[in-house]
Amino acid sequence: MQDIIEVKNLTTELTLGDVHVPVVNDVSFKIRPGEVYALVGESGCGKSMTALSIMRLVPEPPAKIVGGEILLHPKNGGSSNLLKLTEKEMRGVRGNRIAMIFQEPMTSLNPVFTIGDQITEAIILHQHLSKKQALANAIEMLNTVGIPNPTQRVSQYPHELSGGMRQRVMIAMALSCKPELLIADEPTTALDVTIQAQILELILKLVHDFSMSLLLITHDLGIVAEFAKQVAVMYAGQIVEQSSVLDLFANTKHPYTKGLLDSVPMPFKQDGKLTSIPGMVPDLFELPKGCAYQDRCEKVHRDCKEIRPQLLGKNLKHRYRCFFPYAK
Amino acid sequence: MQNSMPLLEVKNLVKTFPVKGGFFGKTVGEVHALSGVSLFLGKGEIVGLVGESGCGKTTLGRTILKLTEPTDGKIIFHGKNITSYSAEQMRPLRREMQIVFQDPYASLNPRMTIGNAISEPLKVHKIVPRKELKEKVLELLSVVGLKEDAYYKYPHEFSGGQRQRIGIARALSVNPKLVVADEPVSALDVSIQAQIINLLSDLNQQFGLSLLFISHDLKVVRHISHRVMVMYLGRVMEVLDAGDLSEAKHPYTVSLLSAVPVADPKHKRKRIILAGDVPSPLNPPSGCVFHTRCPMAIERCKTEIPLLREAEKDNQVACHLV
Repeated sequence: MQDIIEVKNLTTELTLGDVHVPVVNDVSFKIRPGEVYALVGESGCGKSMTALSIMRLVPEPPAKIVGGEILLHPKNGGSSNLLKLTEKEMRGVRGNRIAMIFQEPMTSLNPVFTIGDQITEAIILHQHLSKKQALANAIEMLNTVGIPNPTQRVSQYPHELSGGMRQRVMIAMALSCKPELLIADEPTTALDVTIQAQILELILKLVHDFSMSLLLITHDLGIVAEFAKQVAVMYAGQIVEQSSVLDLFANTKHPYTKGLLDSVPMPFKQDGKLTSIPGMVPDLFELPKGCAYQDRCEKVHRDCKEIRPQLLGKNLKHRYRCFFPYAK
Repeated sequence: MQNSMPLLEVKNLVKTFPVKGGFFGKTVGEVHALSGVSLFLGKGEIVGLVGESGCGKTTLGRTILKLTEPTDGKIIFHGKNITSYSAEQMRPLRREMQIVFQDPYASLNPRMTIGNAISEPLKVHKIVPRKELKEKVLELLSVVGLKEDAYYKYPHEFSGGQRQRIGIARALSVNPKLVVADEPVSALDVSIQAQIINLLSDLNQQFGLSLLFISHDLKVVRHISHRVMVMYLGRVMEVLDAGDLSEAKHPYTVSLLSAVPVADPKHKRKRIILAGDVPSPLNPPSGCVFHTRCPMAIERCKTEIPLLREAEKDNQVACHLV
């Protein structure tokens, strides 16, 4: 099966004064049709910048995509490199073939328009329907995402809805043009646990029903374990480990991944002390020579301070950026 | 621990906030933040308070510290009924009860060096003579795992995790008996979260610090606490030993537990997904406040409020069906 999207050596730089810093550094991954691909990491690791780069929405300046390819392979053939498209062509892709859901449902909805207006905007633009037809589609979408009384809800404003309902509206909006790829950037982080469970199950059901692919960006390894099939762990702008979810948990290679896994309390196992990762995420402007994780790593060695490790196993299913990975 | 005199005892605490509206600012309704919450906390104990947004957990923390006035009920701290204490009367007690806030960015004055920020409570409460101030602050910094050079730095020079350590150092400076930690790790990254949780656990073990740990994250609460209290819409649903959580009785606790994603892809289980949203505390449901979302609700739940009663061991549960 051909991949829906192929990100190859994507590099996005941030410029401050005359210093250039790669916030997304040589990131490559592919997503198959119908697959849930997770991008996981802590704040500042570059996971959101990767998503924004795919949408070509990086704030420019200060950020700029400086290298790589983003190949979109539609089902009916004819691949295109998103980085080569004009802004006008890109507008036909955004919201239409690739849609995105953001973390904060309050700030990503416009408070002065009804939710009906906001959903129909994309439908009218991309599918060239009349206002009436678009509104009917919008009501149907609201129904699909589980909003009660959709006919009344279309004429309401965002402030009249709860956080979970707003995120449902965002999902309805994102899916209104039946995209091939949905990017969800921390879609449930701002929500309560019970609502989080509702929204995640909903996204997953819709991904399945609409046969979309999902790029799920999260910091929560629990969500990765339960919902994703493939995963890439990012640290300081780079992918440090990349494999299937089962393999990542069963056969962890990179010390950072292991550190992350150990710092999450397990809900059912009584354990003594949590193993925490010492120190903190390095400043991208002052990255050390060698491995970016060296100062926090328990396996650090002389070589780690001199040479920057490459992502090993180019053709293997499990790749990691470390000289001293954990054995199975 | 129930037999010894508890450090803190809260009895039937009620807190309502008036909702003003209309031209003359008349009271048009009431938000029922707390409807009869009882709690005790022993010396050296960590009680975890868990619930979704709007369940009243933060209000409970603030009311216990008398940062908001309770509408009804009793707060007994260290044998003293402080419910009707004035701000003046509370002042000497402030050194015995401290709070750590959620947002480490907003809770430090950006114009004050860390040294000054931590010395301030020491000066106000005259904990140490002026000459020894700096020494005491440096000692506190080392307790929370910060370097000495932090003394002369400003808040913007620190990361979120480090600022939370500063907040903890400031709370500890007056040797409090009780610390209320309101979502202390929610704003932090996972790897940093673990550091702060371990720090609070250590402080509890080394100095016998009593802690009311408020969080929406059941994983974290279960890890750090001795006992866990689950709240929903201003009422206590269940109180249980942290080790007993996997055998929780109340349908709300059970569904909360099942909603937490587990970082283990082989872990398979049935997820109970609660329908709908948390109802508005302006107009809470009749009977059991959870009946609108409860998968097991019966007719009786709609009319009769279940009382918190003893279950197995020292656990308590408020449900007709258990």
